[in-house]
Amino acid sequence: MSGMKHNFVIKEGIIENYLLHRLSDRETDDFEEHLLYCKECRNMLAETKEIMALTQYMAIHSSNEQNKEVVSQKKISFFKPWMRAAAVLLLTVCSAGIIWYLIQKPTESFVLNENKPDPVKHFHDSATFDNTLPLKTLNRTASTSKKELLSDNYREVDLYETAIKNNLRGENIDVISPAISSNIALGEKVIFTLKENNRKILLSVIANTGKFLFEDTVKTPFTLPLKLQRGLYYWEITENDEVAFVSKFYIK
Amino acid sequence: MYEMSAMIISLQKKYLIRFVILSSFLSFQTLCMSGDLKDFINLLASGNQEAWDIMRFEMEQITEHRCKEELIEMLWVSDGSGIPKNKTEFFDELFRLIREKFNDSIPQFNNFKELKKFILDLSMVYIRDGFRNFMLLLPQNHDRAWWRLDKDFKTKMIYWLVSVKRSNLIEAEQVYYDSLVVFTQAVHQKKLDFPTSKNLKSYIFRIAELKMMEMDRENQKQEKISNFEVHKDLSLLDELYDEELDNKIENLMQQLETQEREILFSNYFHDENLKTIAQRLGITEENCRVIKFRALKKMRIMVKNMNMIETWK
Repeated sequence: MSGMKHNFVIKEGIIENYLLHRLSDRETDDFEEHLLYCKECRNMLAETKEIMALTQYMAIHSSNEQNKEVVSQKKISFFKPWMRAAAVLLLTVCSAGIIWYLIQKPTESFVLNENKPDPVKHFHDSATFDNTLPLKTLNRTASTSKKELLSDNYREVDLYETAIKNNLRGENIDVISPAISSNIALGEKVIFTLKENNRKILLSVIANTGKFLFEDTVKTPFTLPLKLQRGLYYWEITENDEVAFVSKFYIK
Repeated sequence: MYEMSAMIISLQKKYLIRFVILSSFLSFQTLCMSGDLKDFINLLASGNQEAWDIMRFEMEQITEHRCKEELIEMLWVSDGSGIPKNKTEFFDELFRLIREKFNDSIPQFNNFKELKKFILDLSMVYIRDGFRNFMLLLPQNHDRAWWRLDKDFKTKMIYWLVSVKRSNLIEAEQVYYDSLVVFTQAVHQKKLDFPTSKNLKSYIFRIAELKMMEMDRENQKQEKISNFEVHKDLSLLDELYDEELDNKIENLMQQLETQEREILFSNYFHDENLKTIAQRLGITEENCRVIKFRALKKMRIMVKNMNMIETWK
């Protein structure tokens, strides 16, 4: 007897529930027995423990920030009724003042305009002068923003870059294409080929914004059914709920 | 002729050694495949290092899990010579005891439950007796004993106050220090006697509960505080403050999206299940599971990059 079956442990998320003390006594015993014979589960248990500990550490240390939001909400609720009434009164007085000012303004400007030069001529003079400037600035901002956008598309993500450097557990995955950091022409098909054909993999393609563009179990070789824009893309292979391989390619 | 025979003998020796190594490896492999407890015990008895490594892992998991369930502190023990610095030191000692038992006579186990009972009996007696010695050191102002108590209590109490009472770190620290002052006075004035660390913990947690009520009264909070209830100990933290981690934490937090963070914190820290979290966030449970899966993927990469775990061999 080896307690629990490995597939059952993975499928039911037993490791996580064990650490959160959500298993019954019998399930706990069965899982602990399974640990004796399963190296993979021992590794996964150690890893899940670290992830949980890191999450808990982050949760405690970010509790102050969350509390700031709560405090600011509470401060608003501490306003007393007379203060609210005063605020409403002040608002109505101000708005009435503004409306009165707007009604008065046209008559004033009409009187002042009598002494001013010809308004039509003045309009033409100013139009030739003024209109050029905004157009130039507009063009300039448009071109810079386009450049910025392009560079944004190729911006590297630390998380994936370090993962590629460490190349996690990719020993048993021989990738033929796309090669790491390869350039693929815009519109060309992206084909994922491994040395081993007809191998089932969970493939994810991620934009450099962190958005998952594709995530599915596929058979190699596999052609990506997406039209990708110019930019940097990361892709990863997941096996047994673990990232087994990370790489990247550019669409140029 | 002589040279030939010497060569044959040396070759035989070489292959014999290889055969022994291979057969021991195969026996281990078959154990892993067959999952038979008797084979495992036999390997322990023969002194197989890999089997003893697994035994150590098993011992650590079983003991830690039981202690958390019973709300007992593992490290509050003293055998007269000293107090363990960390978990490794504590488990080293416990492991030594288990190996000693095996050296005396090889115990027989019919099933895994009996093996588990064997480990737990040894560890619980070690912890219970060790705690009595530990308690004797407190009134004597033993530096190391107070250091250990302070370190573990701080982690446990701040964890409890932030995760269950939804307080923040600054408030939680204040409540902790106030409670510790009261407890220190009580240790020196009265003769406190606690049979287990669970009783001692609930005593200080009660003080903390009262301190929280005082603080809330000052802040004019209208909410009523529930009575002290023994809460599950889900804390997996050994260190509450870690300078190295503090420097990295902001970067780590940025890698996770707000929703991913919310789901992970709620699930692993506030002990909420996915269904409740999904309802609160207004998303489907399946969607919630997918977001959590993605967050975990990122966390796995982070943990590996930080070299936090040594792969278990």
